[in-house]
Amino acid sequence: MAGTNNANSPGAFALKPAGIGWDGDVAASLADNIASLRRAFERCGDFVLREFHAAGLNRGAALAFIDGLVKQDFIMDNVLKPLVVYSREIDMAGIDSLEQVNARVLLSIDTKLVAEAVNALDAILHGDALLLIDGMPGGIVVTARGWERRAISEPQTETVVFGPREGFTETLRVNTALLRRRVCTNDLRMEAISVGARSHTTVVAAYIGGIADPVIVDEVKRRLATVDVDVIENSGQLIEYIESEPASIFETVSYTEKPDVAASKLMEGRVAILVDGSPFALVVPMLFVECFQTSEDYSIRPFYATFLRLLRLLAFFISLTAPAIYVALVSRHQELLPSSLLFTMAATAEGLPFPSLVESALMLVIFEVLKEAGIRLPRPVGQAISIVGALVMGQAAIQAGLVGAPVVIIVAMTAVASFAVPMLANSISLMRWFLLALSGMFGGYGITLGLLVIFAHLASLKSFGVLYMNPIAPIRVVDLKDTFARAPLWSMRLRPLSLRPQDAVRQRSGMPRFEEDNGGGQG
Amino acid sequence: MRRGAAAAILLAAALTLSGCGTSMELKELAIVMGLGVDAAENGEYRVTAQIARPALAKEDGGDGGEAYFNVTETGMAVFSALRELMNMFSRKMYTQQCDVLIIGEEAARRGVSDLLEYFLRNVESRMTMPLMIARGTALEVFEQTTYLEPMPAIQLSKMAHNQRYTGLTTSMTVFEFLCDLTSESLQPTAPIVELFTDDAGMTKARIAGTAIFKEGRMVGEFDSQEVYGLLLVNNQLHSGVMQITGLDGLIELEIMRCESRVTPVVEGDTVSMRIDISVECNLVSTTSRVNINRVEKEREMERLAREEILSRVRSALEAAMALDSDVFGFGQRIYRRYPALYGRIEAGDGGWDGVFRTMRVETSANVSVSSDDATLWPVADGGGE
Repeated sequence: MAGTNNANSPGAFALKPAGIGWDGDVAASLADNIASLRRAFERCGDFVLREFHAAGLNRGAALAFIDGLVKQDFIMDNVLKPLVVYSREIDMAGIDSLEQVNARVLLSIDTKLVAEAVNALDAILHGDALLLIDGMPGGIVVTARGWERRAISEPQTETVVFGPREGFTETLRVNTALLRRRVCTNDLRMEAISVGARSHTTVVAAYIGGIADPVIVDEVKRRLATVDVDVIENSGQLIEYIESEPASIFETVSYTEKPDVAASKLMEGRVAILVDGSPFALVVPMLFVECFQTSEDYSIRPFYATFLRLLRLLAFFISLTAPAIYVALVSRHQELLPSSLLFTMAATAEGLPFPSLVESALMLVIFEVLKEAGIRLPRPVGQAISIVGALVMGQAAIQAGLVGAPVVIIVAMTAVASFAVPMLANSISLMRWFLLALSGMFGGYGITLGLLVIFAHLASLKSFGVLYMNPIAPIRVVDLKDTFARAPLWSMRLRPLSLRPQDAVRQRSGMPRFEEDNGGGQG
Repeated sequence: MRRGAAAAILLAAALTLSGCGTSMELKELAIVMGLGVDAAENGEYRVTAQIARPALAKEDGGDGGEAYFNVTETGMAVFSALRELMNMFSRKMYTQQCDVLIIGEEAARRGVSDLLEYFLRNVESRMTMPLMIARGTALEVFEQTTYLEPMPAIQLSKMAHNQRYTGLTTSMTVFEFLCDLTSESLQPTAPIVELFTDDAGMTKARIAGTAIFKEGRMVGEFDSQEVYGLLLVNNQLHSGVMQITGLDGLIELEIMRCESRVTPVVEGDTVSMRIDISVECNLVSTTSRVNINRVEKEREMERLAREEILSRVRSALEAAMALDSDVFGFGQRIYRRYPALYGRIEAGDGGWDGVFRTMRVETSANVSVSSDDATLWPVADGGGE
C-alpha cells in the first residue's frame, strides 16, 4: 500500500478497468503513445496534448494534461523551459532514459515515473501532467495540480462560539493538510484507496498508528476495498456501502466538518475516512453517546458542559416522545393531568374537529414540510417560509379552530428540541412517528413498549465491531466520564476503552495544584 | 431469523394481550369533580355528581353561568346510579379526576361500608380524594357558593386537605378511611361540613365538627376540644393553636411539634393504656401583664398548657368510650403486640367493646414553651424594659 507521501497518487493502486482505453505499457515510440492518448481521450474537449521538440535532447516530446486541473505556468517553467529553452545551461549529454531526464533536467518537485499506461491515464485524469519523450519507454507524471477550489471557511453545520473555526473543503489534499497540522506526528497514517469504477475517487483512511486498534483499521480498509460502484461523489454515499447496520434507522458512522473534531476523534483511537470532493470526514467506530457531544463541550469548563449534556439528553427525550405523550395524556390518561390543566385542555378541545392523534400527526407533517422547504430555499426566502409557517399558519390554525393551542406548543417544542441533538434529528423524526402511532393505539403502555423496542434495538447495534451503546451498555465505568457528564479534562486519564486503543493512557496530568495559589494570603 | 421470529411473537403478544382500554378524547368526557352520596327511600342511594364545564372553569372564560352543574340520580348502589346518569347524558362520566367524596349524614348513619365498597373495587376511582360527611345532604353542599374556587367540589377538597394544619378536625382520604374501616378495632373519623348563610345571604360551607364511626355507621360527633385530644393521641396534630387562661390573662400558644406514644400495659389479663405526649409550642400572643420570660413564669405557663392538653385528651377518651368507638386504635395496638390476649378479649364476655368502655388510661404530657420572641412585655405595656 502507499505510504503517507503519495496518498493522492493513484498509481500505486490497482484500478478498476472501466473508462480506461489504453492497455499495456507506455510505448517507446512517441507517435504510438500520442495515437493511444488521442484514442483514449477522443472527444474530450478539456484534454490538452502539447507536442514539442526537446532541444537539448534533440527528441520529440509531448505533454498531456486536462485543462483546468493543471497549473500551466508551473509546467511551463519547470518542464517545458528546461527541456526546450535551457538546453545550453543544462548539460544534457548522454541522457537516454526518463530516469536521467527526471534527475537532471526537470525542476519540478513532485514527479514520478510510470510504466503502465493505465496509471499514466489515471494520473492525467486526477490532474497531473504526463511527459512523454520519443524513444524512451514510459512517461513522467508531473504533479502540478491547481484547479479552482473553495477557500477554507467556517463550517455551516457545526458552528461554535468558542473554538477553532476552520472547516474541511472539497479538496482532499487540503483536508489531509488540515488534519496533519493538528496532529504533527508521523504516527498519523493516511492510507489512500481509489473507490468508484468510473469516478476513481480517492479515499483516505486516516488513523494514529500507535493508538487505533489494528483490527478496526483493517476492517475499515477491507470494507473500503469491497466497495464496487460506479461513482462516489460524497462521503454520505460512501456511508451506505461501509456501515455496519444498513437496516437500522440509526447512523453508525459519524461525520464532521471540523478538522479539530476529526483530530480529537483520531486521538481517541478512531479512524477518519476522507473522501475527495466532500467536506465531511467520516469517523468510525461511532458510539451513541457521540450524538450528545459537541466540540465546544471541551472548550468550556466541565460544569456548564455537563449541564449542556443533560439538557441535550432531555431534548432528545422531549423531541422523541412529546407528541406521543401528549396524545396518550389527552386521549387515555386524563387522570394524570392536574385538574386545572385538564380544564384548560378540555376547554380547548371543545369544538375541535379532529381527535388528538390526527391533530398531532397533521401538525407534525406541516412542521416537517416547513423544515424541508426552509432548508432547500435561499436564506431570505427560507426566512419568509419560516415566518409564514410558524407565525401565520400556527396562529391561523388555532384561531380557525382547526387545531388546539396545546398541540401547536407540543409540536413547536418537539421541533426546537430536535435541533439540540442534530446528529440524531433524522432518526428521531422517524421514531417519533413510530411512538406516536403506538401511543394512539395503546396509550402510555404503547410508548413504554416502543421505547423498549428502540432501546433494545440500540443495544444490539454495532459500529465496526464496537457495540453502539458503549459505554452505557455494556456498562464501562471508566468511560462514563465523557457521557452524561463531562468530567474535567485532567481526570480523563485514559482514552475510551470501548474503542480498544493500543495505548490506553492519554495523559499523566492530574488535578492542577499550584503552590502559589495555596500559600499565604497576599492575594 | 429465529430470534427475529421470537421477537415478533413477543411483541405481538405484548400488544394484543395487554387489555388496554379504548381511548377517550377530552371532548367526549364529562369531568366529574365531586361525588355525593345521600340516603334515598327504600334503602336506595341518591348519587350526585358535580361536573365541570371546562370553558367556564378557566379564569378568563367567564361569560356568565356557573363553571359546573350537578346531576343526580337514585339507584340501589353507587355504580348503578352512576350508570343511570349516563343514560341521560351525552358523555362518559369521568370519575378519575374526582376531587372529593361527600356522604350525607343520613347515609352515613345508615352505614358507609356498602357504598364505599365501590370505591375500593373500582380501579378508576381516585383513592386519595378526601371524604367528608355533610350535615344535611351532599346535594345541598354541592350547591353552595364558593369564594375563590370555580366550583364547590374543589373548594371542599382543599378545605379538607387544609385540615391537616388546623387541628380542628381530622383529615381523611377515602383510602385512609377504608384502611381504618377494615382494620382490627380502629374506627374511622371524618370531618363534617355544614352550610350556613353569610351576611350577604349567600349559602356557604364550613367545617363543623368530626363524625365518629362505629362498625361503618356514624354514631356521634366530637366537638373541637375532643378532636384536639384525638389528634394529640393519634399523632396527627401537625400544627394548631391552643388558648389557655392563666397568669392574669389569655395566652395563645402555637403547637410546633407534637409526639405521642401509646403503649398497652398488660398485667395478667387486665390491660390498660399509657399515653405519653410531648409537645413543643411557641408563645404567639398574650394579654398577660406578667413578664413571662422569667423562669418561674415559664414553668407556670407550661404547667397550664400541660393541664389543658391532659384535659383535652381526657375529654376525647371519655367521648370515645361513651360512643363505644375505639377511634384511637387501642385494640389494634394490643392485637399487634399481644395477639393471643386480644383473641381472649374478643372471645370474652362483652368482647373488645366491653373492655374499651371501662379501660384505664394513664396520660402524661411533657410541654415545653419557647418564647423566642422579640419582646419581654406585652405591647400594651411598652414592649421591653
